[in-house]
Amino acid sequence: MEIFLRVLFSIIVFLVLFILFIVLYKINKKTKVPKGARELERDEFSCSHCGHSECKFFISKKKEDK
Amino acid sequence: METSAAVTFILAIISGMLVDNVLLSRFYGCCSFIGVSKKVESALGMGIAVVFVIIFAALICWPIYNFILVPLNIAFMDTITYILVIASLVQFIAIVIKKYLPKLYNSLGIYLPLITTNCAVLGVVQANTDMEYSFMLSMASAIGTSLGFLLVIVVFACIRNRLDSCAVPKCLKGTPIALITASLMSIAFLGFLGMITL
Repeated sequence: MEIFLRVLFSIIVFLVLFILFIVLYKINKKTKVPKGARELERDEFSCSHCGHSECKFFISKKKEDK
Repeated sequence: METSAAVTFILAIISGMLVDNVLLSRFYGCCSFIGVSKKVESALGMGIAVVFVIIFAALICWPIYNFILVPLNIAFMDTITYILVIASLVQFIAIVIKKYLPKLYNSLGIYLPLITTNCAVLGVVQANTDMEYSFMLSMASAIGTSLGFLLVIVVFACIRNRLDSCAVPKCLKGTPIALITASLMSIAFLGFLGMITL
């Protein structure tokens, strides 16, 4: 009887947490990244050509923009 | 909180942060440490996300273990429970970052869902259980460890940023010089060894 209860409680705990994870996973999948975020990130931190943050072309362009 | 308890709490934080650093002493979470340390902004974002996950994982897992798993006599379920709690927390953080910090979400890329498999998170929670820490001590351990992760990943990203503009031999450029830097940082952190014994 004791073993049966332990197995039962284990399954219940696992299922509760697993269902919680699945619900959050589904919500995460449905949540969309706002448009234009990728371009903004690339322009702000690194060169759009080579992707390097220390690129001379990128640094001079950033100074010009300022 | 008594004075000795408060001192122990602060010492546990400093110990987890510097003496027993999760990255440089225990070598947990090295994949994200190397992968997300190319830019300081990304490293900072990743560090803050890991701090959030570790603290909340410790905050949730301690009561689950002591008030649910132990009374029900199913303490052997601890690791599976912790994995599911951490996975759920990471999904929750992904939703929040995606909605409110899309730039950070894009720069973290694949490393954000990979926090689920970051052994630093599971390692802290599991260690709290194995060492039979009280709630306050487990929280101190979680805060110290996560701040240690944040500190090291940001410092490492700053060093890598400076290395980009240095004259590094061609054969050492990129990952090799990053690994050498990490090993030198690890040796530097050995200096804190024996500073605090709890």
